[in-house]
Amino acid sequence: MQNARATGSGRRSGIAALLAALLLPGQPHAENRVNAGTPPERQVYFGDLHVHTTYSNDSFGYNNDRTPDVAYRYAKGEPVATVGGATIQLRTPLDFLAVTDHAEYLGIFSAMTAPEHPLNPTELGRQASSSDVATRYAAFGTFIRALRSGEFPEGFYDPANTLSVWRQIVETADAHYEPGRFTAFAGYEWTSTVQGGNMHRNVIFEGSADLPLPFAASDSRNPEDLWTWLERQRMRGVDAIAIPHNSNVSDGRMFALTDSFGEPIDAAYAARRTWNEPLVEITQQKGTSETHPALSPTDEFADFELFTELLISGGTPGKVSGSYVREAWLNGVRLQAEAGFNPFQFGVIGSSDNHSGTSAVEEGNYTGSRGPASDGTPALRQPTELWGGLPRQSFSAAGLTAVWAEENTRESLFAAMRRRETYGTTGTHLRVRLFAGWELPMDLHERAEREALGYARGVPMGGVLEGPARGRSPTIVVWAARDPEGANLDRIQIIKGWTANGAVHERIHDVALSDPARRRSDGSVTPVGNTVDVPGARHTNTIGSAELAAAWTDPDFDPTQPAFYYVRVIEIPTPRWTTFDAAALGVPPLDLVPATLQERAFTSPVWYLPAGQAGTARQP
Amino acid sequence: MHDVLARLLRDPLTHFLALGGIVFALWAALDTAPADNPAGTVSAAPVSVPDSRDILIDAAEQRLLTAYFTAQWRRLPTEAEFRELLDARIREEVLMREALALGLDRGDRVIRQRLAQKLEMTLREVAALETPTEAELAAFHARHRDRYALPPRISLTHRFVSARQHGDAAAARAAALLHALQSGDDVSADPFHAPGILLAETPDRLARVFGNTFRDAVLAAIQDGQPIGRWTGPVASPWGIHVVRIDDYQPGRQRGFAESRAAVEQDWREDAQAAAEVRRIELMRRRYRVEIAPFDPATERLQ
Repeated sequence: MQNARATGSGRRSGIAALLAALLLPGQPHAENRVNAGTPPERQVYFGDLHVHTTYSNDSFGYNNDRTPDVAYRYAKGEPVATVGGATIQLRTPLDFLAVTDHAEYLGIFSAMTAPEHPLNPTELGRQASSSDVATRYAAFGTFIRALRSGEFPEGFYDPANTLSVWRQIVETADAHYEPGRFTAFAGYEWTSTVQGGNMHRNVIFEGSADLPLPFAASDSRNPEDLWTWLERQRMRGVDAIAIPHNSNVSDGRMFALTDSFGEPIDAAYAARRTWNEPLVEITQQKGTSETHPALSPTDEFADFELFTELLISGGTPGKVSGSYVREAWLNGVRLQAEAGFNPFQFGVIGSSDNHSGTSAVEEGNYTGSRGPASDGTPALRQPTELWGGLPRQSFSAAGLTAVWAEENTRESLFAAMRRRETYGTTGTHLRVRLFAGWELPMDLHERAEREALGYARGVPMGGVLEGPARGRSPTIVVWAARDPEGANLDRIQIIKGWTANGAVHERIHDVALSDPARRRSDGSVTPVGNTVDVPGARHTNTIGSAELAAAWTDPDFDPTQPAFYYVRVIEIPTPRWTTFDAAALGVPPLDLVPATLQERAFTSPVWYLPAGQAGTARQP
Repeated sequence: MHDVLARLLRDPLTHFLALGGIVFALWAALDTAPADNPAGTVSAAPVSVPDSRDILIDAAEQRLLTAYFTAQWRRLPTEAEFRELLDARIREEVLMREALALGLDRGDRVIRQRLAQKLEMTLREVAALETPTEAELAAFHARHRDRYALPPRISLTHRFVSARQHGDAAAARAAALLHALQSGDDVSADPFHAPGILLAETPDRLARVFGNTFRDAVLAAIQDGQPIGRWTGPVASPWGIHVVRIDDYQPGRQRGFAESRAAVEQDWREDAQAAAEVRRIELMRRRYRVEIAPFDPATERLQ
């Protein structure tokens, strides 16, 4: 467990290869498929690429018995039973889902509840099999201590069980995959923690044929080794990407400027990272990783659903620098200018990371992230006792992945993720689309053929705009529409990051406001207001706009310096999930979290690269 | 004495051997015993002791020993190690049989729970082996017809008038647009964030693209006999007003048994497994006369 370069992984991959030969579920029949459209006909699909079931040992410890089958049914909008006998159901079903259970000792607790399992008669097996919640949670405590000490009970690593659980996960994804209607991805979580810093990645496979056994953090804790494994899989025709998450609790490691061995990042590292990790999860139940007030002191929206204490640390705050997405993008363009490569040229998504088997991300229909411990009734979510060092109220009802794709199939969605035509939301289904280019008409957003023109003359979110600029500045045209069952929009912002003379800079431009009169003469903006009736947990769409759009040309463009632009769309204030629960119980909301919040979307950036630099940043 | 018991408990093979025979004997008895026979053929006495003085370590058993070793050490045992495994196994078997003969299993809560749990698991597994007849499946399909229904499919073309762009004039503009389209002029409208033509979408997907209000209005129009291929409107969405042409409508329908047989069988197995477990336990319970001695927990003193 100590060093990632342990020889154990070689031996293990031998076993894995052997077992993998047994894993051959086929692709489901594509009967519902609709012909793929052209890029302008792409639609936005919403989903969750990060849900845990009973096969994740922590989730099992939270008394969650839900299987991947339940997770997919819930995502499709079917009712799911709670322990208390009630049912829970999404109001707006999802278009796609990936179950991503922790690969480390996958499903071992669930397995050891079977009397014939070798670990069943042990103390750990007794705890795991207990019907008492606290005893079952104690099994998870033992597991965490073992993870730390590296000393596991004999038989804890059980390749036969890993194979059977993994096989079930993949087969369940196949069974729920209805091309054109609902996409189920096979995936898992690589759960590497380095000195308390969260380095976790979700691995999402494009297909389901010939899948290997998961490469786990117990094989190696270094992302470089995960990439090597992913590259090897691609050589045998199995494509997958890794999506880092919770950089906010990585203690500055997720976006560090050194590799796992303390060496400065180089061009080869940047190329491998960009190809293997085209996306990062920017928001989820354990907080939003966009930026932090300490990094972005002038950003009035930076202090949003932060989660800063390192996991299972008893409340130790992590290092801020190196832990947030915007700063990584900034360091990326700085390295681009200084060294000619960008290790952080990634797009963004949101997902839930719920450990309940349920993608519950709707504030007004939130049922917690911990299964039976939280999803029965609002009263279960009231106590302020700590979950991993934090009150449960500080967990967020977030987030979702939005993908612009031709059709709702594995291939189409995966290709969109590869080209970063994605954005993350904090749970809202708001729509946002953007194009950047040198020759985009300033009324593009009002034209009927805006998408066709956008693709023909520009690049969508996630794209790269290359020089030479020939004396022009890039134009970004963006439009957004509210969630049809959600709240109106407050504003659209374009956030620019660039580098000059070795320093990095960021500036936020409010490009579209619900009411132009809100813009003051000094350029600042009057807040949109707040319609929330806190005791009743209601808002009204009497402020804000259902749609917003803008065309914007960068007024401070320097063609010699690389830069990035991304869009943030902010909704009007709505009640936070804690406020809905308080209203249901007829009690005032706890003041340890805000009563209202402004849901939002973050797009993948568009990068500008001066002429001659584009080549080095292109994907290998 | 406690060590012996602890050892016993630690080894799953003990359970496998000691319980396996009993469980299957019980199962056989259960299958043949009429439900109304309260006596049954199985005694409620504790685990019985095999009379035989023979210990057979068969090939399957040796394979299992090897598998445990390999899972732990990631390699096959050497010859010497394998001999040790066998020795340990024989020693354990001897101790186990002697312990059973001494009745050490009786009155032990852990053993009791483990036995109950083991049988529960077996009931579930055996239920999973049951094969339904076609008639049973057809009856299941008939009982759960809704599970196998296919949703309606709607293809539509729409033109959008944006409230953002036209404000209060949007309604008049939409009326003019509808009139023009009905007269055969294909006039352009405002851009919308989803395609202008949607093919074979379910009502559920229409709601996700246009909102619940729009979906409901379109379904109501179809219900009211809106002709296919003719423009109609206005249909409101959260973002403005749409003028809509239904290009095709395939009503939802029930899938017949033959068409949904695979899904029916899967669901039947899930249901059958759960039901069989409940039923078998209930059947077994009926063979016992339960007597509960008078006792008031409230009189107990807390320690």
